[in-house]
Amino acid sequence: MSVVVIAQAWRTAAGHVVDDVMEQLWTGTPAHHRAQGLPVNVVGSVEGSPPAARTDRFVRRMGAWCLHAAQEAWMTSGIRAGERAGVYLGYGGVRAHWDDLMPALQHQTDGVTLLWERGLRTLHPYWMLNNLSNNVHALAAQALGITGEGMTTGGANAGAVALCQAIRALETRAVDAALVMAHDSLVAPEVVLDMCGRGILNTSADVAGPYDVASAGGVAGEAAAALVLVRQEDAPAGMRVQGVTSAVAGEPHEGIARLLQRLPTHRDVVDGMGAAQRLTDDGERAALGGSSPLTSLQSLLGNTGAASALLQVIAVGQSLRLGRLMPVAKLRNVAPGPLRPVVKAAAFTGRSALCLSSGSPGLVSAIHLEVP
Amino acid sequence: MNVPVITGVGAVSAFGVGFPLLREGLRAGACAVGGIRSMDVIHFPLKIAGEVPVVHTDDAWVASSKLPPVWRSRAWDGALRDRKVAFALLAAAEAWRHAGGSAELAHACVVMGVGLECAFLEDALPLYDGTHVHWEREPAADIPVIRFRTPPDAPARMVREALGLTGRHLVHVDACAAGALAVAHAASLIQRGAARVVLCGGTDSMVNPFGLGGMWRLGAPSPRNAADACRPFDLQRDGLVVGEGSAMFVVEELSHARARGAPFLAHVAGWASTQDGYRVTAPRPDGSAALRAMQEALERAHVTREDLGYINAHGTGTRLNDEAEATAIAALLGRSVDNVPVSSIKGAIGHLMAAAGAMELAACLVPFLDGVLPGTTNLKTVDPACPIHVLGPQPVRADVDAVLSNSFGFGGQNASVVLRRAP
Repeated sequence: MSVVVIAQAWRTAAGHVVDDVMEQLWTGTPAHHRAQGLPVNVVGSVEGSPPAARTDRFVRRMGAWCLHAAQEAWMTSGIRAGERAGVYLGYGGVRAHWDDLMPALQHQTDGVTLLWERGLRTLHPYWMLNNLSNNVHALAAQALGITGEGMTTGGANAGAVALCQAIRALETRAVDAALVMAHDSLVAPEVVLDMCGRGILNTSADVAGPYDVASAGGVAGEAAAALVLVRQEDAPAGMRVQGVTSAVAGEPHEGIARLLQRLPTHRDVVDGMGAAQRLTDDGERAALGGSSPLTSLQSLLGNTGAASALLQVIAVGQSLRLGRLMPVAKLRNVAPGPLRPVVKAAAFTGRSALCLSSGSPGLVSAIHLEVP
Repeated sequence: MNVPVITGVGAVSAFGVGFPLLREGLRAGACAVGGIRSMDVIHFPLKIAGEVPVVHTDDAWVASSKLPPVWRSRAWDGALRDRKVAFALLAAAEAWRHAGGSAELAHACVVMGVGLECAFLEDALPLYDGTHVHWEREPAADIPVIRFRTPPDAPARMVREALGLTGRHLVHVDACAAGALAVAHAASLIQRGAARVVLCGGTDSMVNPFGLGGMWRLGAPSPRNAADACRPFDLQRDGLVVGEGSAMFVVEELSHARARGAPFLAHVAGWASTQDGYRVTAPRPDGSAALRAMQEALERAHVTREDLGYINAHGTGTRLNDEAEATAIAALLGRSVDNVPVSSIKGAIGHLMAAAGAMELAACLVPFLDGVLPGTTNLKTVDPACPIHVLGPQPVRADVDAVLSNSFGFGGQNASVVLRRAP
């Protein structure tokens, strides 16, 4: 049984309207913005804040953007809510939100003695709900009237896991329609510092793209995205989507071969993990083999963590539908190896794609897309 | 269709480290809620919890447990400061040993429900000038590898690496339903043949300044700092008690377990989730979405309400939750409402949040193992607004073949799981 995408929306560092963002991505221009007060030079941050809403007291900025995207996708789909619709959310993780916590820190003079009296007591009563892992899930279900199956998954590959669970739910007819959402922000001080310490982010002023001989780390990003899925029998013209996730001991590329066995063998293009780390990039290309074009959405929007897989479905799906490949951003000297990293925007006639994204070390997710 | 069965269980709770202590405590009708010892709460309004009896969760504590040695890696330095990581390691190691885990089962996946990440403010102190945290400064050289906060997948990943498992790990963060949904997810993987062995469960701890402070500001805990503060379904109930701990299971495909001679504790027979779609701060008062979760779980399990021998309620001890759940249970049971005993163990060990569903499924093994239904600790007078057969504080003897456990999370995330006596 096949599952198809019938509606989509996103909020990204390059903008919020799918067609407009795609025009930028096809030029190969990365959506990097200058970082403020962080040990990196650029970040893929989403500019601005969502319009004020009653739900603001329950949700953080990226969560609010995710709700916007979910509402847009759901309304576009025209699907009727209710018990036969499910909600599947991938959530990157709690961020410390130091702006909240500063009052709790600033008035401390004696260890934790005054932590309650001068600190935590000043927090808004809904502070905890504001940081709740499934608040976007709850608010989307409430706003859209979706009362069927649902779950919230966590971690760097949470969006891919949520997508896979939605596909399974449709295949087993547990639901007739699925709203899949994901949001994440790696543009948080403690996350950036941690990732810098582990060599994942590039701290130089001139970031080289993935698959480049000079690759030395990626760019922290943030995004929110939403998809609406149904069974193909209900929408024959939709884009087919299949997903699997896998974890392996050791480096991510060791699991790629295992993943590929569970997906259709034919693919016309690959959107890679694009970690911009030579060892990982080389391993990824070696595991994939072949000579397909290789793109990297991550090079254009930054590392968007849990949202990555959903963004790939949208961007790569648009590339397949409209026959244009996204160049890998900041790719100057292609490192040798299998596959053909796309250096310039190019016309394309392929109908299928493989999208890879990585989570914590050892965790890889793969999505296969096919347009009619 | 593949049949998921439980072949191992581990638990770290306020009763102590090990499932036998939980089992013993519930059989005795004991209460493990008491004064918080792991942090200084003199200046905090909240002073009690269902706290795991350990002050510092560190290498020494993990090593001193009577469980199999847990592999440690420099890559995880600092992670044990987050109590839920240490609890997950010990519960998982116990479940693994109980199931006869060996290198032959190393292909197992891990599915874990976890709570909020733990923020370590002390890690930011070297960058803090009294007014602002200067993130652009280089961090001190001696800070631990895990710093500022634990990643959400830290407990699952650490368990996977500690036990040398090669299957994928999946993390549920569905608030108070996470532990139950993790077990349901594991059973689903087994049933459809996507895995043959899954280590699953939940872990959480909010016994830290932000957890306790945030919960108090929210107004969810009972304002009474007494051991009997949490009184699910009681007329005088006034809030929950924060708990902590971890319960883990080895869920395995029946023929796989039989082939290696592993004994079964129970059959994970049915599960379902629904959304209230109502409010973030309150359950749907008519309990209709919770009712659907229970009905769908029973249907999947091929268990009728007449077959049901016991319901382990979510039973938080808050006014709105208990009433909505009781309404849903009454609607589910209809004329059988007086025949099916219901209890909540949250009065005994507190509300374990993301781990609650898993711990309560562990409690649901006690009727199968000992022929005893756990009581509702601290219950004195059942609220007439909860028209169900709530068990009193003392456990009762009963011979049951099917039990249902509810987990209803913040925001209306409902999960129900049905266990049957081992086939």
